[in-house]
Amino acid sequence: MINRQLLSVDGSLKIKNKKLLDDFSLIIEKGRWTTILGQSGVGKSTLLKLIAGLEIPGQFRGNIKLDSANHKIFSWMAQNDLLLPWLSVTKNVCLGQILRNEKLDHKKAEKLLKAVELENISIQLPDTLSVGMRQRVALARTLMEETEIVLMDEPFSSLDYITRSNIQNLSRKLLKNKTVIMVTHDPTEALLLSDNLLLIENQKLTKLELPNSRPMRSIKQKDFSEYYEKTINRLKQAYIVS
Amino acid sequence: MIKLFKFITYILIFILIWWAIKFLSNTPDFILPGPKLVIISMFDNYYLLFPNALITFYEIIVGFILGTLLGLTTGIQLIISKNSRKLLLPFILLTQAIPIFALAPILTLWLGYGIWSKVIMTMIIIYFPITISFYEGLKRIDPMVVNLTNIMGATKLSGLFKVRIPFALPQLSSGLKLAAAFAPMGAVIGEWVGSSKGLGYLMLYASGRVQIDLMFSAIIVLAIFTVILYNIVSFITNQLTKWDPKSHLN
Repeated sequence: MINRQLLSVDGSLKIKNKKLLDDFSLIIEKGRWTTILGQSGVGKSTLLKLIAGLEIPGQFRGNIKLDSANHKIFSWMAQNDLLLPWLSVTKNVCLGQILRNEKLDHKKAEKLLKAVELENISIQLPDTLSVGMRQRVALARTLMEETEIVLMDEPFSSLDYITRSNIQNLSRKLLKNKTVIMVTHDPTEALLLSDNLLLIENQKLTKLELPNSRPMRSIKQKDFSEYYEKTINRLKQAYIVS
Repeated sequence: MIKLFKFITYILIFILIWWAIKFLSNTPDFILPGPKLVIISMFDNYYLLFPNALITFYEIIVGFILGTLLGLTTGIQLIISKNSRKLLLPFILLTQAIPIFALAPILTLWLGYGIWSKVIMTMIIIYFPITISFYEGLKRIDPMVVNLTNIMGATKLSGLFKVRIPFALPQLSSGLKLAAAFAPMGAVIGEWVGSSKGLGYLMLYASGRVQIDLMFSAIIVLAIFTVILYNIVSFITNQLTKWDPKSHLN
C-alpha cells in the first residue's frame, strides 16, 4: 500500500567543494518510518538538518515540498538526550510548551512518562537518571510535541546493547503510524525499525529491499540474516565507492 | 555549624600566626601592631571606623550592582550581535589594559570627590570578569540544544532567557565571585586618590598620623566585608547552579 506523500526533497547538497548528495530525491510517506543509512560523513545528519530547516554547514540547491496543514511539523530526537539539566523531568518533557510560553500540560507529560516506562521521577533532575532513562525522557519529550514528522538523528547510538534494544522496541510501539525519518549507521537498527530503508551510496539515495512482513523482528531468524547480509554488503560497497 | 567552626578556627590560626610573627620578630607597634592592640583600636575607634566603613560599603554595593548589570547587558549584547562583538570586545579589553591607578585621578577630576568616582572605579574593576565569564558561558551552549529549541518553536527571547542564560550561569558564577573579591579594591583605590570619607581615606589618615593600629583596623573591617560579600554572592550563585555538579565540588 502506498501512503500519502508528505514530504519530498530533491536537489544537490555540498559542503565546501565536496558533493555529498548529487541530484538526489527523497520522498517521505505519511505514517511510515523511513531510515537513511550510511557510514559517517556521507551527509545523513546534514540532510536531516536540511529537512528540519536548520542551518547547515553547506549549500543546498533544490526543492523541499511539504504537504501538511499542521503548524507543528517537526520534532527532533538526537544522539544525546539534550535534556536541560536545571529542569525537572516533567518540565523537560514540556520543554516545547515552556519555550512557546504555553500552559504546561502536566497530565499529558505524566501519561507519556508512564508510556516510556518511567514513573515517580517527575520532579527529579536529569542528572540523577541513567543514560537509558534520560533517552526515554527525550522520547517522551519528542512525543509530547505531537508533530507531523519525527526526525531522529542516530537516537540510540550512545546506548548499551540491552538499553538500546529496549528503547528501540518502545520507540517502535509509541511511534507506530507516525511519520519518522531516522538516520543511522547501524544496519541492524535500520532493518528492525524501518518501513522504508534508503542507503546513501555514490552521492545518491538508493532504496533497499525489505521483507513484506513488518516489523522485521517478527520474521524468522534465517530471513533476517539474509536481509542483514544483503544490507551489510550494500553498505560495504557504498563505503568502497566513496 | 561545621562551616562556622571551620571559619572560627581559620581566624584563630590567622591571629596566632600574626601574634607569633610579631612576638618572634620583636617588631615595634608602629610597624606591626599585635592582634590585641588592633582589636582594642577597633573598639576605641569605632566612631571613626563605623561611618567611614558605611560609606565604603555603600560604594562597593552600588558599584557591584551597577557593574554586574552592565556586565550582564554587555554579555547578552555580545552574544546576539556580531557587530557588537567586533565593536565592543576591543573596548572591553581596553578597560583592563589601562592601569586602574591611572584612571582613578581622572575619574576624581571628572566626577568629584563624592561616591560616584569610587562607584565607577568599582564598576570598571568588576566589569571585565563579569562580562567575559558571562559571554563565554553564553557561547558554550551545545549547538544541538539550540537546534532542538529552534525546532520546538523557541523565540529569540525565550531561547535566550529560558535556555542560553541558565546554561551560562555556572560560568557567570565564577565571574561574580571574582567580582565580589575585586570590588572593594576599586572603591578603596578611588578613596586613596581623592576623598574625604571612607575606609581608604581612613587608611591614609591613620598612616599620616602613624596610627598603624587604626590603619590595620580599617584593613580588617574591609577584609571582613569582602569575605561577607563573597559569601553572599557564593550563596546566591550556588542556589542558582544547584543543578550543576561541577559547580559544587567538595
